[in-house]
Order: sequence, then C-alpha cells, then structure tokens
Amino acid sequence: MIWFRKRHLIYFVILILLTWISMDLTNFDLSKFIQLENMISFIQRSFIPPDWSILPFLLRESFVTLGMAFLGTVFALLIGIPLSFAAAHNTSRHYFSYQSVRFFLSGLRSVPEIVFGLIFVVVIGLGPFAAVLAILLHNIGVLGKLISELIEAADKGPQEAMKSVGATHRIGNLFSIIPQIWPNVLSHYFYRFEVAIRTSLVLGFVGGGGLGQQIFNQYQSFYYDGMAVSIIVIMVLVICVDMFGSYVRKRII
Amino acid sequence: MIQLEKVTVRYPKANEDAIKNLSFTLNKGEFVCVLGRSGAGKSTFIRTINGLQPITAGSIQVLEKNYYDLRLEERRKLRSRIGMIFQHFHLIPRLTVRQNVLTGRFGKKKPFQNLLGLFTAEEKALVQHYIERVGLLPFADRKVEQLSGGQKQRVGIARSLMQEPDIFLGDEPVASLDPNTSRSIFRLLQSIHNEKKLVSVLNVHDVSLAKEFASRIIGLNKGEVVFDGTPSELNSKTYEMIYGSDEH
Ligand SMILES: Nc1ncnc2c1ncn2[C@@H]1O[C@H](COP(=O)(O)OP(=O)(O)O)[C@@H](O)[C@H]1O
Ligand SMILES: [Mg+2]
Repeated sequence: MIWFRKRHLIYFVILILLTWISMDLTNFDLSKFIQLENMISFIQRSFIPPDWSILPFLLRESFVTLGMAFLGTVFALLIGIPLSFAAAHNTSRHYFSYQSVRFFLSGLRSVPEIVFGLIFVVVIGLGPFAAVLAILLHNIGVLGKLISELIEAADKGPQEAMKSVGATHRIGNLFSIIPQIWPNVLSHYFYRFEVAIRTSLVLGFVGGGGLGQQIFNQYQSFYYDGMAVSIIVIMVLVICVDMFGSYVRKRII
Repeated sequence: MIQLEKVTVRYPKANEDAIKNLSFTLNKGEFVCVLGRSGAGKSTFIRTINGLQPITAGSIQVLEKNYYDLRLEERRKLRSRIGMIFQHFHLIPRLTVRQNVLTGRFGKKKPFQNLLGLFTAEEKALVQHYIERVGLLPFADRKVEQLSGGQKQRVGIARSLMQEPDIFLGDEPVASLDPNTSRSIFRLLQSIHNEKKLVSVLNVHDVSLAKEFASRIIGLNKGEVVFDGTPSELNSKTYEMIYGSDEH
C-alpha cells in the first residue's frame, strides 16, 4: 500500500457501485451488440452510395449552421468577457454584484441550449435566429464562468504595476489581465464554437434551420443516401473548425 | 517629500504588526536603501508610500498630501507621480517594450484615451526618449518576453519614467539579477535620480550595493527602525542590529 491508501479502496468500491447502478438504470446490455451486423447492413443498404447531387444545397445549409454557431458564440464572448470581470473575485468591485453576476451566469449555464431553443422557436418563430439566441444565452453562462476563472488565476504582478502607475481600476485590469489570459480565452472560445456547431445541429431538429434541420427532414422521409452526405459534411466541418482553432492558438501562444 | 508619523501596518489575521511606529522624513535628493532580513517589513514599508498598502495607524504625508484625506481619484493622481519597480518586473506580457513603457502614462490620461491608444506626439517622443535613456532602443518593438532579466527591469524603469515621477520606489528591484547586472541597474537608477532630483527608496538585500549607492540607509528589524544613517555609519554593531546575530 505505498501508492494507495485505504481510503482509495473505498472510492474504488463506490465507483464500481455507481457504474453498476447506472448500467441498470440505462438498460445497458452488451448482448444487443450482437446485432451489430444489422447496423452494418443498414448502413450498406441505405447510406451507400450517398446521393452527392444534394451536396451544393447542403453546403449552403452548412454555412447557415456555421453562421449560427459563430454568431451565437461571438456575441456570447463579447458579452461574457465584461461579465466575467464582474464575476471574478479579484476584479469585481462589490460583493453584491459579484454574487449576483455569478448567480446569473450559473443560471444561464444550467439551462441547456435545446430548452432555450424550444422556447425561442415558439416565441420568435422557427428558423436559425431562434437557434442563435439559444446558443448565445447558454454560452454567455459558460464563457463568462470559464473566463472569470482565468481572471482569478492571472498573475497579480501586472495588476499591481498598473495600480501603481495610477491607472483606473478598469483600464488597469483590462491591460494587466487580458494579454495574459488571451490565448486561453481563445482556446475556450474555439472549443465552445466547435460545441456550438454540434448544438446547432440538434437545434435544427426542433426547427432551428441549417444542416440539422436537413438531417432531421432526411431522416423522417427515409432519404438515407442524402443523410449520408449531410453526415460527411458535418464531419468535415467540425474537423476544419478544429484545425483552424489549433492554427490560431499556435499563432498566438 | 515623504513624512511618516508612527505608521503601523498589521495584516488582517496577523497577530503581529508588519511595521511598527515608523516615523521619519525623506527629503528631496535622498537615495534611500532599506535593509533588513526577509520578513522585516521592507516591502510593506515601500508599499505604504504609494498607497498600495493601507496603513493601520499613524499618518503618512507624501508630496505634501495626506493620502488618506484624498478621494479615490486624487489618490490615483498622487500615485501617478510615484514610480515603482518590482523584483519580478511586473511587465505586461505579450506587449512590446514600447507598449509597456506607454502604460506608464495611464495615470495621467483619460480612460478612453488609454483604451484607444490616443497618445500625443510629445508622449510618443517621450517614450522614444526614455527607451533610449535605459538603453533599449534596439529592442523597442520586441515583445518583453524576449528580453533578459536586466533588460526587463530597464523596461520597468522606463515605464516609471513615463510617469515623470517625483518619487522612485523599488521593491527588491535587483534581487533576481546577477551582480553585474544589478550594479548597472543601480547605476542607471542613480543617474536618473540625480538628473531628476527625486526621492528614491529601494529595498535591497545586497549590503554592498546599499553602501555604494545610498545616501541614507534605513535598517528594519521585525518591523521597527533599528538603523537610520549614512553608509559610513554602518559598522559591525549596527549591522548586527539590522540582521541579528543568528543567520538563517
Ligand atoms: N499579504 C500578507 N498577509 C499577511 N501577512 C503578510 C502579508 N505580507 C507580508 N506579511 C507579513 O508581514 C511581515 C513583513 O513582510 P514583508 O513586508 O513582505 O517583509 P520583507 O519585504 O522585508 O521581506 C512578515 O512577517 C510577513 O509574513
Ligand atoms: Mg519583500
């Protein structure tokens, strides 16, 4: 027992127990995998060959999807950064506003995009704009929280230096903190952008437009060889965004 | 220019004062080095002068103003007349030397001017002048990460010069530098000091630097002044009062 303590054994037992309970709750059943052949033959039968004729149309729809994810997350970043300064204990100025902004952010975060989406589709009508708002609200909560943690962990030295040259509170914080945390902010941003692309697909299922809605329509009308092309477009899209994100991060760090 | 009267600082939750009853006057032209073991209260003392460290008791008068009579805005203005350099330089990462030096001007301008980088032609010339003064002209447009420790401290000095200060403070400004670099930084500080007729107050842990450059040495021990005199008055007895006999 050099590497482990008795306490660790208890954690291990608890982990096993939780796994077992979850398997029971979710009807986890490996024997069903025997039907894997069914899935392969389903894919062969319906997805292959993909119907490439709809590619130009899907590419146009994929720009709608990208637009939703981009707008939602960019606005979330623009709104989230100022809020995160109010939600970080070292830069907020009043205890009350600090607590209320944190509460507000965690409130936004706790509502999944799909729930916002369902509400906005009803309130402002079907279409991508509802999806943008859903992504926007949820991501203000997420980015606000993540960036406020970066702010709290930032090196205090430059903040002290800005204070000692007589900079105002806001200017001092802005200049001493943003350059320090910027690469990590971008890193979080690109990850959230990638997540938002996938989210916007799900939002498409409830009428949010873009590629997601196309997939849903194709699925419902048994147009599987069209759906295969949609799936390929999505995969390429996510991989491209990921590659672009790492490129930008490398340039900045 | 700086008058302390029975200044005491106790940190929250501490059960001893970090500095106790400090009283003295620092005059224009004095180049003061503060000596003492670590934990003696040197940093705390330095930071009370520009108000980074609030005092618990006593009063402190800086540039004819009592810091604690001032409103927030006036405190900021007062602080902008006091330059400060730090052991770990505290430069703004990812910005260039020139940009870092410009931030020294922040206390003298309106927030939107700082934000948008609206500096006057004179200010831009001043930046150039001070970058040259500290010998960094060839590095003016480099990011500060690419500089050596000594060069970083020169950026710190240039940034403080942009404040056109009346007082220069340094919290162990050479503690992370090698002896030769330390000496050259001190030489620079001394020549600026003489040129601008400042009050300089610097913490050092290298007694030989203090002896060489200081016009006045203040020794702190456990938060109290145990020596206040010229370098020539330092002897083994006073030395022991400052540092105590038990080395640690
Ligand atoms: N932020 C702080 N909170 C509580 N105690 C502190 C803090 N900073 C310094 N102290 C204490 O105050 C005393 C003086 O510290 P300091 O001024 O940093 O000494 P020096 O710079 O001479 O090493 C020390 O006993 C130290 O432990
Ligand atoms: Mg110290």
